Amino acid sequence: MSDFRVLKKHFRVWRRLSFLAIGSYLSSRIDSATFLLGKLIRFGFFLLLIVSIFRFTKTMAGYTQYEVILFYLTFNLIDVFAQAFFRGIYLFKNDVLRGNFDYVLSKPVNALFYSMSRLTDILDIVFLVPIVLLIAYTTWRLPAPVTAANVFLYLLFLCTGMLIVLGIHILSASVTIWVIESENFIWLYRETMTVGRFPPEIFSAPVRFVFTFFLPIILIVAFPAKGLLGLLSGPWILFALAYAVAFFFLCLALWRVSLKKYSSASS
Amino acid sequence: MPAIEVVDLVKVYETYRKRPGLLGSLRGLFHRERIYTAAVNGISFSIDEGELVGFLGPNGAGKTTTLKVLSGILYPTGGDAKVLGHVPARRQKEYQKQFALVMGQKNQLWWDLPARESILLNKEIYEIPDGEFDRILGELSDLLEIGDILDFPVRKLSLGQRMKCELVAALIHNPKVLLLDEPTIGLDVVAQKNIRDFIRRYNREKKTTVLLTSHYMEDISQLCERVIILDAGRIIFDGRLDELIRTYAPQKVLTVTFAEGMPAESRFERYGELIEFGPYKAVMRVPRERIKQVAAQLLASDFPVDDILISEVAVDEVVREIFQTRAGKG
Repeated sequence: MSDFRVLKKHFRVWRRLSFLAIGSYLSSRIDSATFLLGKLIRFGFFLLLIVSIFRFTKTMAGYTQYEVILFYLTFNLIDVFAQAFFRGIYLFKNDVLRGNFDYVLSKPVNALFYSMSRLTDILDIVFLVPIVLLIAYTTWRLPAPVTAANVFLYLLFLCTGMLIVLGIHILSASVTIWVIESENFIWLYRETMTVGRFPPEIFSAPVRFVFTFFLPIILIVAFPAKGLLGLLSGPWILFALAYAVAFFFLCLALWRVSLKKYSSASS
Repeated sequence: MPAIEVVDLVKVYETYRKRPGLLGSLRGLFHRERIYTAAVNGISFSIDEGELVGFLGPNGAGKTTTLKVLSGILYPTGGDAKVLGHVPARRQKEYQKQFALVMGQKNQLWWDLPARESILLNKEIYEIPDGEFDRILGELSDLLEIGDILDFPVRKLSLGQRMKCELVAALIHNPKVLLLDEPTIGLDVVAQKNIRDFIRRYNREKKTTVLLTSHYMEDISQLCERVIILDAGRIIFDGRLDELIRTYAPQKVLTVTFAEGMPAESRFERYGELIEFGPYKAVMRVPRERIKQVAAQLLASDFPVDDILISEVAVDEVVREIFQTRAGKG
């Protein structure tokens, strides 16, 4: 089958899965509305906190108010994007435990793709719109002018950041297959990601080292923002690109191994 | 060429023994005792195209594991398995489009939504053209007599209706091989019969190769001419159902009905092994070679015999006895 046909097929499957997810959401309207409201409140309050802090200081770790807001919005963009499109992983443990993953494995569809996108979160997709608009506004309010190269680096590191996040989700699914009782891996990622809400310079050097090389939250969130602000040097750019690609393929290899180890739930 | 060919198949599961109590849990953090269980232990069989074969065995015999290996869900530990010339463990899309798996205890339908939505999802997954999809869906709906239940949320359906929808979802791509793992489990007798009738008709009309596991003997005896009996991961019988009965049931069942009166129970003991004795009926087991002679003796006796019926021992009784004997030996 040609690559284009495979891509087309998977797009059609994703579209159908999204319709199913939207159908499920619409069947529980009150639940969905409170979920969205909760997200907006959490998002708004943290933004308000940043604005409040800057009533008492002009900079935070050398960054101005709008620069700090850019880090926060970039964190939200990546976090919400992952939740919108990879939400299926949150159901993965249940699918494995109940044996429903057996059906996925027996069908002519990429099992990883299916498991990740089996619950596209339409509410998070809706939430992405104000985030993107706020990023555009914040970029316009930045103290230094933003060049086309900076915008390119921002988009490039958003992609590499998403690649690492995708890798983490694959790792989480692999761990679930290996150690079925574990579902906390993905929550470890979610909690750790909150580190990226602020510029990394507020942390000490050892903490930054850990969050760059071992738990690469700084690569995921801070690098796009720094790219937009023109603060990244050539070697760091190359390192981040190499890290993202290597990390992703390592996670993919682990997934393949874990599929061989899959023992299925007993009937 | 056989549709399914299995040679020396082995599947070993690795698990951990968990000690009880808090201390056991703490110990488990540092040291876990690994346990290896051979769910399937060197089995071989082959199934021809269009055959409908029953897999029988007690819990843990290896039936479901074999089905999961054949559907590519599990990697075998050893041996070979081929279905339609494909190695299932490779999970090739070409193979996955040619078989279907239905598990009575699991579901592939989306719970909150009408079954039609899940079937449409399978249409995309199996890349079924619109015209073909409509035709197959129409055929299956007619065969299963499901009317408009495809448009009701799955959670609102009865178990029998849900199983029918599961079958539609599984068969929408017109598979050549159908693997059924306890498709009638939990269903009432009417629903069981409906599903059985459908499987029989589908197998005959489509010439689909069917491998069926079930705990209900009725499913196997009504549908399968050939059975494979598994116990502790090994095949203990592979052949025709009537052959199974001849091999494992050296006796036949003789039922005598009396028109009146009641002869003393002790008077029947010399004819065979008495298994039921009621006011107007005596049921006994008699060795095959003596059955005609005993029947003739009863008719010629002074018993008020109204009717005599000679039948085979019920299949489930035969199978139960096989497993009880083996468990006793074990």
